Amino acid sequence: MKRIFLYISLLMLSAILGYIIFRMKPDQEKKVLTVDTEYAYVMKDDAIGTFMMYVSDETHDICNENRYMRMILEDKDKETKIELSLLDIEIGHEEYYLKEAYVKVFISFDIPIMTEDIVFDDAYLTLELTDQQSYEVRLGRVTFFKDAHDEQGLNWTSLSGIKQSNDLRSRIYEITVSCDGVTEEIEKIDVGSKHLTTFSLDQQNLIITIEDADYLLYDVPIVITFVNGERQVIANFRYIIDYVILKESGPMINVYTLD
Amino acid sequence: MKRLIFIALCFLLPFCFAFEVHASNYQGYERIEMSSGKLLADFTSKEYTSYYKKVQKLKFNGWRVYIVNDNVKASFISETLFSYYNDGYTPIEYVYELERKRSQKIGLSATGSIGLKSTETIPKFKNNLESALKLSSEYQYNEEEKEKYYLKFLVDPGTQVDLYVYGEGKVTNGVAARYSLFIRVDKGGFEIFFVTTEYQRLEKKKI
Repeated sequence: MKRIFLYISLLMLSAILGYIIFRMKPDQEKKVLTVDTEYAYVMKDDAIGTFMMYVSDETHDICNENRYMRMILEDKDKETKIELSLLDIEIGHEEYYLKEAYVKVFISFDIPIMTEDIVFDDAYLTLELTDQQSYEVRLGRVTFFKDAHDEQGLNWTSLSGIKQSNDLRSRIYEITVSCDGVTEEIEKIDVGSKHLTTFSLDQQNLIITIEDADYLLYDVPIVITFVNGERQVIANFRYIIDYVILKESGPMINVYTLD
Repeated sequence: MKRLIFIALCFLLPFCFAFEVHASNYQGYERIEMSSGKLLADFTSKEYTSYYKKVQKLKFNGWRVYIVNDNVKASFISETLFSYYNDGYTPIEYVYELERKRSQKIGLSATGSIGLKSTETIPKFKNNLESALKLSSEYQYNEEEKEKYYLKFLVDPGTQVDLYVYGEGKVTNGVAARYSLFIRVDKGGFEIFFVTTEYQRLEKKKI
């Protein structure tokens, strides 16, 4: 009889110990990740821009647009600053980074309208929430181009882009613009990247090659400047949709702790 | 005697469908090319016979799996996502909200008696074959996830605009057999197609 009591006591003791150890396990730290990205948008009426980040807890206030006070885009030196109008926050697919699960979060905003092109070379986004919480996260580079209303020197018929072979990151390397011909000589082409673009043109295709850099680049407008000074803008197009971004972006990932 | 024949026929019935493919969306792609190996749909009966030998050892309970192609790179050309035609007399600014579901990123196929759960909104194998395959985390997802992308462009009169998708993915396939009390209860081929990158191509043409 004593032996049975001993066994039961031992069993209960180990169950209590197990419960205490389970309770003592620290909660997983809530985190938000951003990946250095080159964002480029054309300033048009009703145009929508989207920044991307990853959050380990989708119930956190940072994923709820009703908890936002304001959202400020600024350069690292704080000299260029603009308040953005938040439109919507949407949750996307799940990815894993260092064995932790994160959901992709899309922050959509109204593209501001300004009279000149504006560039945030080292862009940070400050998210101010209603409960006095504030988070500053690095985005990468953000460019807003002014729209062009000049005559179209290039009548495009198709748009497509690819990554460099064996590059697993979500970065466009080459854009092909098929066209019916170009009526004006092209001086330069800009896609919002601070890195050089080169181009070649035959009768059917304009091929734009973008220099490699440690930034993601997947959704860009094409801004063509002709020798006569006129400018043509081909609106934003999402050339690449990647589903394994965190796994392939290693050193470009910025990690922040959420309260 | 009739009863015996009926029982024998009932027993043989599942094998009559041995090579029928049960598949989710990706089988509808216009073209899939693997960098090496074959898709499940291209396995010959001779290949099945040789692969089945790898899973025929009896087991008390659960799945025995033989992977033929493990995470092999593949490229594909998918469907046309949308087509829009402006038959008016003035250019139209067309706004398109492209919605991509997570279930479109993972495609499953099964042959023999393995089968897919037809009631699920996201594809899954029957009898929890996924856990026996020890798939990496990128294959795991719990609910229907949607992502929206906005497209906005000007469509001239008499012009049609089409959006196509092509891309890259990974294919894992092989054969599996499920045992219960040392009796083989299911047997067939399985395949998982995981889309890693989609490229979009926008085309305008005068009609």
